[in-house]
Amino acid sequence: MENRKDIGKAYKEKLEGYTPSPSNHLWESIEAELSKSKRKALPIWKTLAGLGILILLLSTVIIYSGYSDSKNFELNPTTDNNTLDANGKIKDNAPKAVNDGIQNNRSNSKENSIVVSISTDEDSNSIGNKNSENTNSRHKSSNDIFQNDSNCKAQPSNKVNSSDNEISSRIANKLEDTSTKKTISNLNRNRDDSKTNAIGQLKKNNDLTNQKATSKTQNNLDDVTEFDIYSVVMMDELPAAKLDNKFDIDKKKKQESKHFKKSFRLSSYLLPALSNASSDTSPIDQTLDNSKKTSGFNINYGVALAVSLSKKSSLRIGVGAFNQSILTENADMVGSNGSLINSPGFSNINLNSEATNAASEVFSPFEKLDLKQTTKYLETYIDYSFKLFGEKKIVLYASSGVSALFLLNDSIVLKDSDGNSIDIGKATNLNKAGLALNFSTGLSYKLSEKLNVNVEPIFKYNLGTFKKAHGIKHYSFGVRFGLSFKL
Amino acid sequence: MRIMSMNNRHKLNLKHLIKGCKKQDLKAQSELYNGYKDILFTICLKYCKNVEEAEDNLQDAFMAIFKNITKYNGKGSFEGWMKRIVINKAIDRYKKDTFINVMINDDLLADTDIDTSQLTLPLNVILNTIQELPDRYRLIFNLYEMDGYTHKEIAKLLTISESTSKSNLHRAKLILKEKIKSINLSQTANTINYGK
Repeated sequence: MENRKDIGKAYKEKLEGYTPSPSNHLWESIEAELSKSKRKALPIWKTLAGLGILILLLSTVIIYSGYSDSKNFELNPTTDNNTLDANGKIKDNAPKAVNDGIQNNRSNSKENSIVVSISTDEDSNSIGNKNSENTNSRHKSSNDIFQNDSNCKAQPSNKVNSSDNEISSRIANKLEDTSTKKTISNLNRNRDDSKTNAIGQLKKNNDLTNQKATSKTQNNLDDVTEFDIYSVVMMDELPAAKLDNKFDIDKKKKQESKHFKKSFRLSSYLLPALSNASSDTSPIDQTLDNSKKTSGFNINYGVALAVSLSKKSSLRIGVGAFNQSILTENADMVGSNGSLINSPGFSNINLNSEATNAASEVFSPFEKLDLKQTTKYLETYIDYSFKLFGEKKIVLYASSGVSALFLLNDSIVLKDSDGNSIDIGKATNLNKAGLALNFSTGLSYKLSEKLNVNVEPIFKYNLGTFKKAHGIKHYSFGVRFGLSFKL
Repeated sequence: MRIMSMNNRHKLNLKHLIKGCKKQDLKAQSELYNGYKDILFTICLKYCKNVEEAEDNLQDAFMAIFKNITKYNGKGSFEGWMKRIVINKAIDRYKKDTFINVMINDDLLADTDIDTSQLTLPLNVILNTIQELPDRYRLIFNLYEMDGYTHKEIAKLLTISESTSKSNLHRAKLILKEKIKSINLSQTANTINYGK
């Protein structure tokens, strides 16, 4: 009697108790892969962590060196020039008591710190620096007045005309340190001698200060701060000639050591590159391990945005298309009737079923074929560049960074000597995402104020782009040609 | 009562194994593998083209299980969780093959019933008929018939439409029916030849 059933249900019932075992060696493979992944995980993270630390260290060193340059400049008045004593005479060294006293006092006084913040410009350094400048270096003090204090610039006579007692008492009230008080009172005692000169000088420079002051807001006279008084006191001591000279030098130096300003550059690039693998292991199949592998050539492209971190370093973030290919020459891939040898030969290919039929029509029996595996990635990268040398027109720089590679597509194409080719399928051993380490040196040539052309030889080393640990590591070498535009 | 205590012991043992695997203890991993390798390998055999690929798939699946075992929160069956990983691995392996969007046609009207007496073939032969199906048909047949997924779930998993899933399943059944028929015919012919 016929017992009819839906074939699906019939199959399920039939196969329900069927439980074959996998080969005995499978656990050994899993065990090996487990221990490998345990071992492998660490070096990748170590590499990345090492790279990160290196970048951080380099940034710190470069940024700090840039910072300390400008800091040195700010402190220069006390070191590269002679200081002036209370009588307006030039001394070789600054009086330490005054310096320390005022520094201590200022740093301990909250109110005074506010004063400093008012009087310093945006790019000024520490409070301590500023205080020492004000105390020890007349030209610095005057500079501050001329450049930073619009009140003083606008109404110099008001301050100068303040009574000595008033100034002294106001300063004395603010300064708790007795040595400082003493010093200040000494300064005031001798103030009369230089007062006339200072007023004259102040007037002489009034035009200049007014010009500088135009961009700044005119503050109300009532807002005159403690620092203004300090400035006036110090400025009063300045001999006119010295003031002039100092002011010019300072102006020049300050312009030279203008503080670093962040800038952005947008660039596009074209990257012709050759790619190959670091071992003879075939990514297609073990039977092809001994076949000759040659580099594949690909054109890559993308855009990047760079931000300068300091005068010497920058960080670049980019996105683009990145392709890699490897050619396996003279591969035995077709059998006696010209059809593809299915096994062995394709352990890592998801074979396109139509390819088998097509191959028998296109290829001759036992014909040696070239096999090209191409992988197409979306690449996002971040790298750190630092200037090696060069200033204006040409700059040589070095970069290192990391790319994240996202697999977009891959193909495996068989090609014969007549140029016939068949796309036989896709690899099954590729990861959807991987990493690449990038190392490059580049030359940047300034075409115009905003436009640069770059030529940058680059080396890329892939990590984790293949699933199975066959030791397959792709690398690429190419030259990145780019145009960058300053935003 | 006795059965209950055995189940509890099994649960305790499994809990212990999972804990060990979470700590990446190789002994626990080995025990888990030995406990489930046959069940999971059977699934692999049905979803893959041959034994080699089935073993590859099982290896990938176990690697994924050991890697992601920390994500298993104890809710739901652990065996079911592992089965899903095995199936997903197979889907990843063969999903790239394009699915043909066949709309309802004459094929769908064809009968997919079979006389069960025709299935008195060795189990490996029956399994081979599934393995020889084109990837897309094999995936859908297994998902729907063997593992009880709905067409809606299959459509979501394979990013195809429900109607494509239905039509591909129907086509798979017709191919299987044809294969069984031809195997039976050739066996009958062989028997006759031997008889002569």
